[in-house]
Amino acid sequence: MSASDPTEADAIEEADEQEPAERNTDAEIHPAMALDRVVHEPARLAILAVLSGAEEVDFAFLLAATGLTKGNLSRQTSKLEEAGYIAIRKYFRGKIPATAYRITPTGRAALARYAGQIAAIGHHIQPSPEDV
Amino acid sequence: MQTMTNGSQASAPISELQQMTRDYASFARSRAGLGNVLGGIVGVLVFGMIWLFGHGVAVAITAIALTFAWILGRDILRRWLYQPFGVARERWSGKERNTHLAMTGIFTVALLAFAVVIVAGGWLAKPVGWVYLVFCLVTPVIAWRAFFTVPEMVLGFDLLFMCAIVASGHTPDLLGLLAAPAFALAMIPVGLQEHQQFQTLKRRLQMRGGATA
Repeated sequence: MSASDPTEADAIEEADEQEPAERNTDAEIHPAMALDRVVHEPARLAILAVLSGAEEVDFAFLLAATGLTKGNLSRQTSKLEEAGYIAIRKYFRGKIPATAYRITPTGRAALARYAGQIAAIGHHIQPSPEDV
Repeated sequence: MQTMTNGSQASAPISELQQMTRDYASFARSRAGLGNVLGGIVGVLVFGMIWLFGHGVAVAITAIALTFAWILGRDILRRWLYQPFGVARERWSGKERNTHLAMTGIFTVALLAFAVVIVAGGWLAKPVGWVYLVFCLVTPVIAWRAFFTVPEMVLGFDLLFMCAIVASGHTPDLLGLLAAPAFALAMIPVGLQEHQQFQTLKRRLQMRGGATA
């Protein structure tokens, strides 16, 4: 029976649910497992970094600063908004519709936490001699 | 959290992205660039004009026009020259916010006290009283909305005060005439330096593929 067999997978899942107290948390397995996946994605990290440097920025500046494509930027900001890390405001500049973005306190905290985790993980990485 | 890549041209240390944004956004409020140069030139012109011609209707109108040309011109420069890649509003620290609040508060209290003296002292019987009353009521609003740094606050208040003095038919004393242009002159190199910094920042953003809005 292969690991991808649905029957075996179901059995493993069931066993996991029955013994939650005995399971290690992701962070206990390895600190890298506890990284916030929403922040860990490079494009989203760049967006959060830009937003953390200003009160509010519009779409055009976010595009210029991150170097992302319009489609990718829209997708990633939507994900960050869903996570509650950024707030998006639609408004009109004269007759032209515009979009403004700002990082929320939750997003700011997530970015700070992520920076701390990355720094901690970085200290544990020991490159092997042949890689140096 | 040192470097990031996203498969496109966006590859820069995260701290660099944050700093670049802070620098760009600072030109929306705390750094005026050529706006400071304009302020310096207006300051020297206004005080030079008063020193040369004293008070008078023409001097008063020109002084007021030049002062407001600086205040409005600086905002136009901010919008059209210093936000070419889109809008970024500066994030103020608590200290900066409190400094602005304290400075505006001090001016407001002092000017409102002066306004009370004008009204209670019966100065409004003469046109001079009305000129000073308008100055007392308008200056705090302008200071709150338009002056965000100490140099802007000092030069702006000085210019508006000089406008009120010449509009009321008086000539400012020598100290005001000498101190203010010296201060205005000092703003010119600061403004030029800020403009140079912005040009460097602009090139960096262009290298990242940023298109001017």
